[in-house]
Order: sequence, then C-alpha cells, then structure tokens
Amino acid sequence: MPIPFDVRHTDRLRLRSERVRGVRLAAILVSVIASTVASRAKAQAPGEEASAQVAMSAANRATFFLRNLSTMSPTPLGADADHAQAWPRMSWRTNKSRSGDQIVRIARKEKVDVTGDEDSPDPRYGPHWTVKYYDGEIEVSLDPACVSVGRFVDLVLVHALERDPPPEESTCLLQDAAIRRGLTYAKFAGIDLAGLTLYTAQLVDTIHPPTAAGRTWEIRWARQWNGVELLDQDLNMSLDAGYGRLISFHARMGAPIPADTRLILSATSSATLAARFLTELNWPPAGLPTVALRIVLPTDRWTSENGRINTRSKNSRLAWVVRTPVRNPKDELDESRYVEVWIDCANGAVVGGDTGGSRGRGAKRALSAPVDCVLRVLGAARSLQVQGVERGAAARKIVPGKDSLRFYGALSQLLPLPPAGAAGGNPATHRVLVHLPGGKSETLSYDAKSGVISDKDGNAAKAAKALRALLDTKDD
Amino acid sequence: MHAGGKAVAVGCTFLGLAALAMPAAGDVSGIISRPAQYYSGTNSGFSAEVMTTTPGSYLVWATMYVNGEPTASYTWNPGDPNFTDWGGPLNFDSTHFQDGQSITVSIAGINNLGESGGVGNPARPVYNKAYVYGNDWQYEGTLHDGSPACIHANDAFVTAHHTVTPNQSGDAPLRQHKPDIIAALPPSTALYAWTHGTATKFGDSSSSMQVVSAKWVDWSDVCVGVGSKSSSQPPFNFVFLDACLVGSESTLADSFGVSAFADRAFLGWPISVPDDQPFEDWSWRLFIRLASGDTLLEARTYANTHGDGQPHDNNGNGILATIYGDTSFKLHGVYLGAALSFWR
Repeated sequence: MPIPFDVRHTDRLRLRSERVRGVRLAAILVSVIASTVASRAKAQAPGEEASAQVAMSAANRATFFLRNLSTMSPTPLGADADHAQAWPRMSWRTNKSRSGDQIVRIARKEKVDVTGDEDSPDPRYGPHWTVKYYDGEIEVSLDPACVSVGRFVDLVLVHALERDPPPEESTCLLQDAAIRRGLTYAKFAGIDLAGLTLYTAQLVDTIHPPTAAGRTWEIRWARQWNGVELLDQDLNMSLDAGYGRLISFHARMGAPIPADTRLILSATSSATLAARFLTELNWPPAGLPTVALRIVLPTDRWTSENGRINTRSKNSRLAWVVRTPVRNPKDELDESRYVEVWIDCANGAVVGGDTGGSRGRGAKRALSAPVDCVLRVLGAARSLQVQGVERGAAARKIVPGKDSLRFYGALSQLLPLPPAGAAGGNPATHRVLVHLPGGKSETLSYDAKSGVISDKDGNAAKAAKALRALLDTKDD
Repeated sequence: MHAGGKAVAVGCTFLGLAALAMPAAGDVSGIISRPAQYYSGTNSGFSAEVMTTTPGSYLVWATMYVNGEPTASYTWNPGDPNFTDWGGPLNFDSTHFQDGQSITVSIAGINNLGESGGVGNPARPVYNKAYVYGNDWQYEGTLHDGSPACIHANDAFVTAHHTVTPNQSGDAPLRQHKPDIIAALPPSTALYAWTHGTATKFGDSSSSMQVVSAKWVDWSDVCVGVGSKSSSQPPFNFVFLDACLVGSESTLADSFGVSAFADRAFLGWPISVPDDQPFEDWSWRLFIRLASGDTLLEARTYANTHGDGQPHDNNGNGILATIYGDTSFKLHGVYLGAALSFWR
C-alpha cells in the first residue's frame, strides 16, 4: 500500500518513531523468511531468471528497503512521489528538454523483474539478485539470502532532480547530518557497520550549469578487519545535497576474511621481494616504495596475456601492497608512474598488483576538503615516536616488531574528520613523529583525550580503539 | 500529434511515396515544415500535417514515416470526431540510420472517401561522425591505457551507427598529431580521446606531461576548428575528453559549443586522474550504456555503481566525471525518449 506522504510530513516525528519499531520487527521477519528461501537458492549467473519463490522473496525485501527509504524523505509538503522518494512512485515519468520547451511523458511499467546481477561473477561483489522496478529506473541488488542490499540506484529520483535548481550551498545538508543519514541507509540495507571505516564525505558539484541532481554528498566507507583494510571493498553512497535523499548505494563486500592470517613476512622483506620482481619485469625502481598491509583478492595481472586483470580469486589473502615509483619509459618528466606488487604475507608469493600513473597534474576540486592525508602518512609508517607536548616529556618509539599485524592494522583504523575537527577540538597532548620510507619523517599532532590526530594542514582523523591502544599515551 | 476540424487547402505535393503502396492520390495533401539540411544526433525533427479538402470528407488513417519506417499514426474509430487534418512535430533519432545514409521524412493520409495523398521531403543525409584517438606508449605516446580505451569508444560509436575516424582497425588512432586533431574538428560531431589534459588544453597521441604547444590542442585551436565548420557540417553533439582536469572549468566545453544546447554535452574529469585499468573500465561501462540508449546522466550513474564502481584517486577519494551541457544527451535512441525508442 502506498505511503501517504502528505501525512508523513505533517507528523513526521511520531510516525518515524513508530516506523522504526515496526521496521526492526519487520526486518527480523523478512530476514528469517529470506534466509529460509535463500538456503534453497543457487548461485546467480548474470541475467539468470530467478525462480518464482526467490523472485518473490527478493522483491519483498527490495520493496521493504524502498519503503524504509520513503520514511526518511524530508521533502516539503506537496512534493510529488518522485521527489519525495515515496513508495510507490508516480505512474509516469516526465522528461523535460533542457530549455523546458519539450516535455515528454512516458508511462512507467509496473512489472518487477528479478534476475541474476551482472556483477555476480566478480568476487569483490559476489552473487546477487537484482530487482528492477519501472523498467530498471530503480534497481535494488540483494545478496543470495535476500537480506542485505548490495546496490541501489534510483534513477527516478535522478530524473526528478535533473532539471531542478541546486540547493544553495548555505542550505545544503551539513557533513555530519549527511553521514548520519548514510549510516541509517546502511542499516536499512542490512550492512554490518562494525566492519566499516568512514573514509571520505565530500560535497561535490558534478553538473554545469549546476542542478539538484549534480550537487551531492559523496560518502565512502572502507571495509576493514582487525584494523586491516580490504582492498576494493567499500561502501559508496551518493545523497542529494539539499535533503539527503539516497540517489545511489554501492557496497562491495564480497571478499571473505583470509583463511591464513599469519604475518610472517615483514614489510621490509616484502619490499625487497617486490623490488626483485620489478627487476624481473624490467621495471627498475625510480624511488623508495611505500608499503601498506591489506587484505586482497589475488588477480592474474602478472600472468594474463593481455596484461590486464581478467580474473580474481574468490579466496582472499593478507598481503603487503608495495607501491614503487617507476620511470615512465616514454616520459622522463613523468613522476607519477608506479607499480604495485602484492606480496602474500605468509609465503612471499606475488598475488597481484597493477601499474598506474596520472594523465596530468593538478589539485582536486571539491566543495569540502578531503580528510585522508593523516591516513596516508600513517599507512606508510616504518615506525612511530610518541612524545608529550610538555617540555622534557619522554619519547616512546613504537616499531612493528613481532606484532606487525596489530601495528599496521591499527594504523589503518582512523575515522576521518572534517578539518574543523582539528581546529575546534582540544589542543594536542602529544606529537607523533612518523618515520617514513627513505629516511623521511612527518609530525602529526595527537590529542589523547579525544583521540583526534591531525597533520600540519589541519587534516584530521579520529583514532579508533586499536590505534589508541597502540599509541597508549596514558603513562607519558 | 494533433488533429483538428479546420481544413487548410495546400497544393498537393506528393513526393516519394510510391513505395508506400497507397491508393491513387485524391484531395488529400500534406505539408512538412522545419526541413533539415542534414540529420545529426538523437534530436532530429520535423513537423508534418496531412489534410483532406474534399467537402464532407474526414481522415480515417494517417501516418508519418521516417525513411519509410512508420512512426506516429492515426486511425479513425466509430464515435471519433471527424478530423480533416492531423499531424504535428515528430522527433527521431538520426543514429537509428547509418551515417551517410540519405533519408526522407513523409506523411500520408486516407480520407473516408478512399482518397489518399501526402508529402515527402527530399532525401537528406544522416551525419554522425566520431573522431576517436588515444595516447599509448606502445606507439607514440606516454600513457599505458590509450589503446584499449579507444576500442571501447569505437564499439559504442559503431553501435550508434557513427562513422569513426581515423580507421580504428590499425594503429592510426594512436598516431594522431595536433594538426590531425584540428583538421578533424570541422567534420566531426563526436570526439573521444584518452590522453593528457589541463583545464584548457589536451594532448595529442604523442604528448607527455610537459605541455608543449606543438603537441597540445588549446581551447583557442578548438574554437578555430569548430568555427570553421561549413554549413553542411553539423555541430558537435558529444565530447568526452578522457583526460586530467579538462572538466575543472567550462573553457573546453564552451569551445566545442556543446555546453549550452539541448542534446549536446561534454564529459571530463575535474581533477588529475589515473592512467589505469579501473578508469578505462569506467569509460567502458559508460559507453556500453550510452550505446544502449541511456542518457549521459544515467550512463554516468551506471558506471559509478557497477563493476569497479566510482573511480578513486590514489588516496581513496571518489572522483566524479563532470558533465557540461545537457545531462539528457543521448548517443543512441531518441532524445527525451525511452531507451532505444527511435522516435517520439
């Protein structure tokens, strides 16, 4: 039954609290039913038609997700169903030309299709069923158990906002509000937030002249396990900047945790192995490598005939990702080229990697600053030196040592904050000298009370438990 | 389409309708306005009207055709008003036809007395030509992924019945120098390039990081090239410069003349972007969807939410390609229409 969105706006708070209780109960019910159905479900091939039973289960779960989204829409009274992200949407779509002189109405098909997701063979994503509404204008992709949402694309909302003026920057949703909404959407989607670390939240303009469809909050969470980031495992969301309606949602959470998590090889040894591998490939290093601990899905990058990644293993590995600057064979001035070699932490095998570089120079352009610099510095750390800011305070050195999984894993556990988080927070209690490859070093400020760690440019991040335990500054 | 009861007599110009196998012409005639010199892009259009002037007659059937393919039509049913004229504007996708093909547009009708007639426009050429080139170090360039990127773009343009130059079967697309690019601007209606870029310039197939005038095409070069189009060369419909920074400001989009008109658009990256497989795959996904009838905004959304998803810079920050111009631009399928619908 359609949600009466006019009623929703008149007494939103009361309805919301009632709905949240209802949502939880219904979610449990749906999950139980879905799990039963899913136990009989087979793997999904792209385009495979779902059985009637699976199709019903998937459509029910997807519709439940869409109804949940509709409870979150804060659009003003009188907004149409497409703008309000209500459920169901309008029975026709209106396409307007840029100048508004041509308006075309296209009837929407009520039929719901459930097929195997086209990205099912990709182990980064994993098997999914895709439920398509209105001829694919709305797409909800579900895991085989029909419990968690892997992808959501709302082209109905995109079309509705496409010709609308953008919200003034001063009236855009604030970053923390956008993130809070994102977390709620993730809960609706059944995503386990415990394994995610907020990476970036940027307000961007991607259409000129600006429209409401192009002024969005782009939020990214990275998946991590025991403080170790999983490569290519993340959750990306796009929210309209005015009201925070969910435009798209893409969760790549398919990689399993490695069966073998032994960290036998050191970062230094892995760099040596990577350098040897590069020499065999005739890629002489042009600088010192940076090394980061990651969980990866091995690829055929170095064995495929076409020099591309064609297949990925379904079994993940704990690996040192060694990124080494290399010379561009055709451009001596190009300092952007690198080769990444993934070294298995347990046995030193090369399990993947890639080459990369840049197609130009210049800084990024976004309406809010990125907050990843601290993470980048710590991720490459060879060792840390922590010292209180008061005169004469003793310095304590932290090296990876035997527990390097904890060291590098902890250094990945940072919750980025907006730059104001550093300026507006408590003054730093400690300095953290980060020793980087090549004898370089960088100093970060750390406030032991709040856990906020920041660099000289004001980029800030909040240390999670593992990193705070590693820094362990209470005895200083 | 509209129908009305007021008959307007016009000269019975019955052109090119022999193939429609209509009954002998009577006092039914047609008129076509907005005649085009060429048909380019997915927002081609014309207006046509058919009318019956025989006293006491009314139309029982009428149809518009694009190159003989029936599009909008009208059939009288008992109880309907007796219309003496029917017609209106019709928009169609010129990429439904192969570039270079000459096509006619026409309208025909039959009245209740069995008299028939209509009008056809003289054949006009379809004009959709894409220019595709890349920078790849296996040839003359300094980038890694120029060659496969060109293949994906070429596939999409061919699907959308464009003529693609230079010939993509050899290595010519990877050996395009600045004079070649400038010379290709007047005859082209679409451009794709995987190369180096700045906010106001983009490199040729042999360009490097260093901006050298001999190898970099400046926005003013583009203005000259676009400005020298002849009256038989349509404007650009779509430009995707798959290069750094070209989308950071509107200079290049404006110089191609695609940022201020319906069904024309420019796509470019707003910041420095990697030369790697995830970005190449992103462009691939985009082109697949464009060739399937998505609008540019829909295709971009698809590319950001499937496969590798939204591309990231080396620090894990998402990067979104910037659209200048009409987000509803379509490479294939009629503008403002559903998917690959050919007309509306």
